[in-house]
Amino acid sequence: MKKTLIIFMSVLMLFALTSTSYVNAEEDSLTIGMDSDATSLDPRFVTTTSGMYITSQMYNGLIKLNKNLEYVPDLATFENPSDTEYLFHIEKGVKFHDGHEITAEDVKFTFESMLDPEVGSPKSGNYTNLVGAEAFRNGEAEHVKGIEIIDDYTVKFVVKEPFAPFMVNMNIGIIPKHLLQDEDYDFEEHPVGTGPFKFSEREVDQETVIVANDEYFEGRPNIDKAIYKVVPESSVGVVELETGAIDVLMSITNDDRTIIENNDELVLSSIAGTNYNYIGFNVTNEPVDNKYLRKAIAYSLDKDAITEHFNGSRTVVPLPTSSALAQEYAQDEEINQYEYSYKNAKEMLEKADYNDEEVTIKTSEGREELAQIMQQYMKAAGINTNIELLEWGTFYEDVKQGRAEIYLLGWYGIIDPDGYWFFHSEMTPPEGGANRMFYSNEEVDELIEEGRRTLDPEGRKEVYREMYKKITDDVPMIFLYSEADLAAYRKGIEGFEAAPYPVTILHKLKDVKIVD
Amino acid sequence: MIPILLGVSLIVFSLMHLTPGDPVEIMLGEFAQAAQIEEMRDSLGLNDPLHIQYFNFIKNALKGDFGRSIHYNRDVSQLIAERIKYTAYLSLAGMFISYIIAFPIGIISAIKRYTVFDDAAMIFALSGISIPNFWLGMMLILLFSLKFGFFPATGVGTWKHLVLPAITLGTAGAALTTRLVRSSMLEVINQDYIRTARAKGLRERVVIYKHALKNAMLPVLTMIGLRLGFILGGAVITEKVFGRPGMGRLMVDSIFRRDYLVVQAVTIIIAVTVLFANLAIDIIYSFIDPQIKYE
Repeated sequence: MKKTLIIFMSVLMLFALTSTSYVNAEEDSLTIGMDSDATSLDPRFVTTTSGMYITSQMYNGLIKLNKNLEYVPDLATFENPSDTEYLFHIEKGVKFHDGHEITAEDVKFTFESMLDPEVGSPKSGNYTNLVGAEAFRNGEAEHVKGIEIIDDYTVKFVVKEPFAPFMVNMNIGIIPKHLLQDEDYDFEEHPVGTGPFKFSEREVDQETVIVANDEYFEGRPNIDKAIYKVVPESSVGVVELETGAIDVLMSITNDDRTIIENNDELVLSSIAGTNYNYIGFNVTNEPVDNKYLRKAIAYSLDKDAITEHFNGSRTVVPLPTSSALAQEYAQDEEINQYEYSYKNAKEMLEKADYNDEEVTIKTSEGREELAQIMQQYMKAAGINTNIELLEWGTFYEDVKQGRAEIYLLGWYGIIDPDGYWFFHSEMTPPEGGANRMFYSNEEVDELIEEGRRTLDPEGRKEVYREMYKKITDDVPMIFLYSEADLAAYRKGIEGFEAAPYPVTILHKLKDVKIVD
Repeated sequence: MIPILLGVSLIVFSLMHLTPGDPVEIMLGEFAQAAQIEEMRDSLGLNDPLHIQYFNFIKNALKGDFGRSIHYNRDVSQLIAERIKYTAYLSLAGMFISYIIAFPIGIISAIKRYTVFDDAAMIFALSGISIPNFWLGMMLILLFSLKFGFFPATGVGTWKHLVLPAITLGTAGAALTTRLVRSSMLEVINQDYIRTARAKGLRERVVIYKHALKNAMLPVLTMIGLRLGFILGGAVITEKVFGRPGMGRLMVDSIFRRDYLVVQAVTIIIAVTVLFANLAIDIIYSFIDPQIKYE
């Protein structure tokens, strides 16, 4: 027995002595944990946050966003010679990771290939308002007429009509034409960009390694290497951070927040999110087709208390609170904020002629608590509810197919106040896009179109003010709150900041330093 | 075997297509336009009639081509090839841990029936079955990664990465097998031929290991074959907790993404593995028990 114990203890000692070998030894390497892997490292196909984290380091767009979510030059400076034209002047001498200089040809190629049906980019819809995009997609033209090369370093984009949100999609990474023209070149396995980091190696669903680009046009990054490691379980991610197996953890949940705050070795970084959470109504389905019932529900909920419960910040219009516009509209007395009022809720119920019909709240995992809280508030106001908790795919299909009364969802990455996707009647599924309330109001449609045509920011603000007044009066949605986006890192790392999900273009490692 | 595989593929194909949710919509995300969705569905052949889709799948699968994953935009065979080794290592290590614990404990409990050791072993078995894999994995990580730093919490690559996941996966199996070994041994040691062996004056060790254990092995072997399927598919929680890129995780993630071709391919590969494992076990039977013969 004694002998066994001695052997057991010796084995334990051996482990203890060798156990630190997996912790980062190199000072200039940063390991970043994220909950899922990138599905692609080709900017034309990147749709996931993890993909954006990595590709933001490997590519540059023509423009980028600054912290105030304003457009600033990245590879190119820009100007508007007219309401429908955008000129981009590309910085000379910027090189791809293979040493090839980037020119206007690469820019044209990037946008045309996204529009090419054979390439099948999920982002093609973002550029269909360019002149000649349809003809190109139908195979009637070899090139997109609205993407014009003026000289080696100047490209002109022409849109069919003035389109205020045009710049939103111009920060996409530029890819090298000379490599992608070669059909045998596997770009997914060997991606090449112009960014501060170069692709090194990748094991799908495990880790992706990128290394510093010594020739980067804005100066070499401080660190030599970054490893994006997949840690699917958030709580395990926190353990990995605590042990030092990873240096940074993206996407911290509220549950893990306290653990990080209580650990002296860790720093929590928080940034206002570009998201908002809302309660949606399918306005064509009974009984919520009744506007007064929707208003009653809006009044019955203590939205400030709900916001506080979920550590959010309250939003009253379909914009995240990080947007300056949202803050401005929140002060506007003409935009109904539906302050919590039992009396108003009762009054609206009477107007609605509500007869105790049961209203179903559909939700998927992650928002069930919100559904329960709503149920309690609505019960207090005398509204009967039933909660249906569904798996995401089924829930999403039901909502899109119009098989829902009340549903709980959120929007992420909202930078521009353009409401076309969500509120325009043309965007009603199944033919359209994201108007899952099946909401239709001709006046709102006209205001949305006007907002898209109005390039002057002040004029646009006025148009949207009118639009939000009408939308909040119709209550196709109840706007609740925006959540902050959190990331955590180990002490000794300087210059790292959380990035609003999924506007991860703000996630930049170039200036991050490891000081000890 | 072929009818079974056809049956499995047909059931999985039908279930996946009956489930609400569209892979293209899930992949293209919130801002997808209807025309774009249609275009992609067409290019992936998802607008073809179901029987044509099934026929195409079987035709290509027979050539070893499982199609292209909608989510990853890569060949399904390549996705599986990258992951199968990690699931194989984990399953084998898990099973190894199961049996290395289960056999000695099961045998000793049977011999020392109704003693303190037997009671303790049965409590261990009950706990092993009752403890959720997820919880055990987390506890092992907290203790051996966070507290002592002996093993890494996530990843793959070295044997150290395999220890905690294998213990997590192996424990539930160990508990189940312990009970089976015990009851099967108890049944055998009460047989006449064991009494005869003892009466012949054979040493107890020979009686137990040569005469009793060999006969008690049959039901245990059957369970090894059946458990293989469970372990291959059931490794998913362990793979998720420990961040291992295995087949179980690939399959479950693909179900949520409605990535039909991946789910179909992984299911078929698991089915083939289980069928071959059971065939192998049937053959092993004949070596252990000469009364069983195959013609």
